[in-house]
Amino acid sequence: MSSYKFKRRSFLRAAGGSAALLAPLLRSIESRAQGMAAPLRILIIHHPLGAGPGLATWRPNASATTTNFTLPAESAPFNATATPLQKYMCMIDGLNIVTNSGQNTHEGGVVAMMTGVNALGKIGQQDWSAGGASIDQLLLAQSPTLGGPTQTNKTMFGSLQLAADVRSDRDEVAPRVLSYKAPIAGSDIAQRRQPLYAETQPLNTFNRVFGGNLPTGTDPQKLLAQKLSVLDFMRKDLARMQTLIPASEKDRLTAHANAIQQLEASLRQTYGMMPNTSVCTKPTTPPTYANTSTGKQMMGDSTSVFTTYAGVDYYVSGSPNSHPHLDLGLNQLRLIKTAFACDLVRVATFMWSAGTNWVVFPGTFQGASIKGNPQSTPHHPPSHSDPSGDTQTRDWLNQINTFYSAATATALQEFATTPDIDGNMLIDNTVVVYLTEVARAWDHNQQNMPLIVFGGKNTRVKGGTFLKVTGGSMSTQTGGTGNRPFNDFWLALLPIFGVNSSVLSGASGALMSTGALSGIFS
Amino acid sequence: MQVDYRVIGVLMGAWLVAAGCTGKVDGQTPNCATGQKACGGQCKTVATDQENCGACGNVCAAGQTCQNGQCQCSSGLLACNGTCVSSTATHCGGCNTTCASGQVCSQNSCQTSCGAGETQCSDGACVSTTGGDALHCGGCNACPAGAACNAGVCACAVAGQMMCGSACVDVMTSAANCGGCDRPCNGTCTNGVCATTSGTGGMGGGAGGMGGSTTACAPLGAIPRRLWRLSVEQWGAAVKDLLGLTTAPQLSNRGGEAAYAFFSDATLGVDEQFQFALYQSSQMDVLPAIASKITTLAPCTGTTASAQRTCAMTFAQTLGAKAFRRPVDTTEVTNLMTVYDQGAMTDYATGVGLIVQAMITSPSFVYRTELGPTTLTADASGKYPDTTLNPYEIASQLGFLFLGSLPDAALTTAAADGSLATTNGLNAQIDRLLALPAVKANLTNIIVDWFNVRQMFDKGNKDTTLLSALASTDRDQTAITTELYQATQQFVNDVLWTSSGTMNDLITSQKVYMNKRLATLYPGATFSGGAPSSNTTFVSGTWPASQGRSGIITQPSFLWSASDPAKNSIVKRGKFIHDDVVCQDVLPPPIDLSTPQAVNVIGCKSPDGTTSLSTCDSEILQSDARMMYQPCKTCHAQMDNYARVLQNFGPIGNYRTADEAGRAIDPSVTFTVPPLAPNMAAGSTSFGQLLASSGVIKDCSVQKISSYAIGNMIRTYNTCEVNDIRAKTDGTVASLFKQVALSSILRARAGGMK
Repeated sequence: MSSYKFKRRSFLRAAGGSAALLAPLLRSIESRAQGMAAPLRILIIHHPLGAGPGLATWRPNASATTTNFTLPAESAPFNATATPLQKYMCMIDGLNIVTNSGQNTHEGGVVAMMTGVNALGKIGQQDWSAGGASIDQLLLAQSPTLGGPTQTNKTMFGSLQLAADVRSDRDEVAPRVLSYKAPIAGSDIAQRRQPLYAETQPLNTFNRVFGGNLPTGTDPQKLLAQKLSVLDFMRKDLARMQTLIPASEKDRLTAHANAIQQLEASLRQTYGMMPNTSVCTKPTTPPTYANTSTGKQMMGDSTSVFTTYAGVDYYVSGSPNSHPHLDLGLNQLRLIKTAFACDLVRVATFMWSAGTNWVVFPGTFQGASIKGNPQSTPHHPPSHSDPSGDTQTRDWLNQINTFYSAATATALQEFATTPDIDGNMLIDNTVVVYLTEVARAWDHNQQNMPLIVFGGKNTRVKGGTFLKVTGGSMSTQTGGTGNRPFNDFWLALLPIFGVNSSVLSGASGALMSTGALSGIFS
Repeated sequence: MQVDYRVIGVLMGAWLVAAGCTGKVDGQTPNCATGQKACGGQCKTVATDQENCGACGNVCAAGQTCQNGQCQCSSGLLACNGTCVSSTATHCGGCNTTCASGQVCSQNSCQTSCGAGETQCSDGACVSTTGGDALHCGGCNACPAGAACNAGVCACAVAGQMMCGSACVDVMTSAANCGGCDRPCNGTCTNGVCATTSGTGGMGGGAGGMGGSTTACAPLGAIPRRLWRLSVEQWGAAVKDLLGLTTAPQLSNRGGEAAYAFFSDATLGVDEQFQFALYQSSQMDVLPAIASKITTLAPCTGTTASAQRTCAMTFAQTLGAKAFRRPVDTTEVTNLMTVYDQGAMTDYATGVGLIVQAMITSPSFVYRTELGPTTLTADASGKYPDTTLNPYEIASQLGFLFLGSLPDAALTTAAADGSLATTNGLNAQIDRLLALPAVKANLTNIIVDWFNVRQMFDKGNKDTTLLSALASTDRDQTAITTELYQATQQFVNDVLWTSSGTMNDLITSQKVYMNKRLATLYPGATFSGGAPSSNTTFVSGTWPASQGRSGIITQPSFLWSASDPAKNSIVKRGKFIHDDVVCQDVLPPPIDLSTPQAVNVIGCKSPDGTTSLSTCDSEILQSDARMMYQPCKTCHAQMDNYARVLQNFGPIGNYRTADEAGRAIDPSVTFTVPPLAPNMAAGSTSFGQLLASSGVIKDCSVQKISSYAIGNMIRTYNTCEVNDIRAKTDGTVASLFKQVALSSILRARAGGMK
């Protein structure tokens, strides 16, 4: 695509009096028009329940080399899109999640993987309390390029946390939250952790980030001024409260102040009216996704399940050709894509589901059936069937893994074909991390964690590579040693965004690491 | 109905005497049973007691278990030079076998690397995930003292022992863990039952309605000065009452709050999504709802800008005081008028609307403050003095506790005139509130929420064959669950406010409310005034005695919510009753259910898979296995019986005599753990009666409502402040809420640091 050309005066005329209110957007558009690089972004996508046992259906076989490899069934969808994504991909095999406190569960795995530090402890059955900020929030706070709160040029919304589904076995935080701010001081571990709950309705995301369809009237500037006066009152009220509270409540009000700041950004989007350009276009209003029937519980071999929440399943009962779960997830990822293109955020996380996935899938899915009585069932319960004795259910689970790869590939295909403001494609300036909370669902094995990094030319990702980790001292899933701790990946990622890796390696309670893993980035 | 706990205490004491185990009299040596010795004033089973092994004070070391009165190395360990060690690279299969440098010890043999499925530990031991010993169990970690390694899982080796903290404890005799972890006994702990000399008898730190001594209780301590965010429901109710709306606005985001939370969690704050939801609701719901009534909300006869501004200022002052639950100062009014002035550029109504929007989205509305006097100052070290809530905060607290919303005018007046700061004034307000219909309705809903009934609304996916009694067009599960909820509300309302009003009645009443559809779905009830003839009207009835129904735990709504779509769940029902109806302390965190041992037991086999029940096709048989075998037994022996006694009620609360495998149901259980041990219940009716007669339900109600009132779950039964409230309540709902409201924990706040 040709370089984007932009005229400041034209923009000001188009924006009218709202131009001043669109300063952040205007500034970044101008700077790009002057030929400066587009900002780097980071998107972390979580898919549930690992990959096929033994990894034969996930990673290239033993004959693969670093640059010559074939993706097997579960990861092949990344190459099946119109723009094959293998050239943007670095698949990494040989990293283990290592914790000191027995966090080798879905719930514990999410927390350990995303924070890289030991949990504060466990609340109830499996609700691990995050002991540190998540990687995305670390990056947001520390990186000089991600538009975080300490920077002069902040993005409007800082970061986004979205999800397609967050139902889990129990009403726990650990399996359904990727992002955390740093824990606050105190003795109650439930109170200390600072989860950033994901938004599960694309319409809410659209309303908050893109100004929604709230009534703007005939004089949006005047309306905006009125609304901002309400926010000013909130801030004054907050300031009054700050003088009365003890220190233990200050973090709470600081977070509240940040929330008001974000609300202001949302209002500016609404009443400032986003400009439509060839790079940044206000998305169409997404639909509301109503909860679907959760279908019948699997009989016979199912393990006891503890909670059932209504949500948006793979299909609507009675409508086998419907795909609300897929549609919802893609809509969320598209909103992230547009938010990146419009430079509203540069940091985002997305969960297809909680670590203990309760999205209901058909008992026969993409040609594979659960052993026995294949009725529709939430994804998680059958995953604890021993694959050595039940290859049918194993194949069903592998098909779901393949589904999530295909769904993510569809979204990333759009990143690869959406122009960025520097004339390249969005993927050229976006690092995408595709990860999961266990390697092997049936026994929560966390060796050889399935992990792929995507990124185009400006991200330094060595595209088209299969990085087989060797030389480490940790055991592999299939016997022998050579693996390294998962934190070695984060240590390699952090400097890409200008963050010293000691931020993680030296953090309190940091999980094991042996040094930044080379071979991912140039 | 008053319960004379002294009588129960005497009876309990008599039982203990008859059992040959007398209660300890302070200062005297107890008479211990055969096989026990008096150690430190307590009877200890020295054959197996980890801390008194064979003799008082003889503590077994790490890796040892007390076996037949001797400290011996746990299974799989080597006794080397008086120490119990694992088979490692320096003791590989024997004390004197050292592997060569770089080698490891796998299956008692020196190897170059560990085998498949083994974890290599830093001492060169290779440990199978399904094996190991007490020092490397299933991996490199050691088991707590006194625990053995059973197929890769740590478990207390001796019956009657539980893992409390980091050690196996004999909960049958432990003074600090009598009948369970963290259950101190200020008397003699025998068979897990705490016996004191006060004549109040007692069941070990557990229930029994016996106040007993508070010196062994765990203090909750003063709650810190804090901000408490309104729940989604409280915000909606407060806005509705503030502005006189017909319906409460609903937020699109719950800000981390559970969908059917029992109480408003005091730890929650305002994040970006919640703040946006507040704004959005104010914009899309509230402003349109008040657009037509601005002249009612903020009447003004003046037509000039100046006159209208004066009206707006009066409005800001009066509505602000009501919204913020305290007088607003001149600065706040000035700030609100700045908002008004922006809106007044359009017109008076817009300005008033903006004032409303500012109020209902601002921190002073969204948070309840529990900070004490505004004049509180820190000392030179930055420490605030401990304090109590100021009168306006008390009014707000009583409002949200009793009304679920803003304090009413009488409460605000009592705060303003200072009477709320006095005991008499506080009592008078509480008595007044308890007589209000709105309060009764709110407290009814709190009691219903205590039993987690609303979770039913997420379970509209029951197997439709369970609804076969209804016509196919009549099986809308959304409608059915709504009606079940309404029926339960009416049941609870009847019990609490029309009948005896006691917790005992709540757990034993045979009453039921049904409409026509429910009467068809749950046949058998009798209606003195005639059977219900429509789905819109609920009629009071009585369950047939043959079904053995008993109170709220056999109401279909509760059973529906605590079941799976097509079958019962002994685990769900049992755990809920254990935690929230009997208020037993939290069980140890469960083991990983995906381990081979756990999978075997779930499949009705022994942990090593060598023994199995003949079949595993029913909840009862699966429960049998869980209660029989570790690693499940420790917990399930404590909770499954609470659900087994309800097995006559199926997944929708339907009465049945055969289970899902077609076998006849025997609901009788014998409770083997406190607080109900060693009683037997023939079925749910006698279970309910036992919960009542033992005082368990009364005691638990105090704990739950106290938790509700402070916004934090109190998980330790023997909490001092809760015991104080228990001693003052008479078992009625009015007494319950009144004594909670009067308790010190609601008003005392720790100062904190600046």
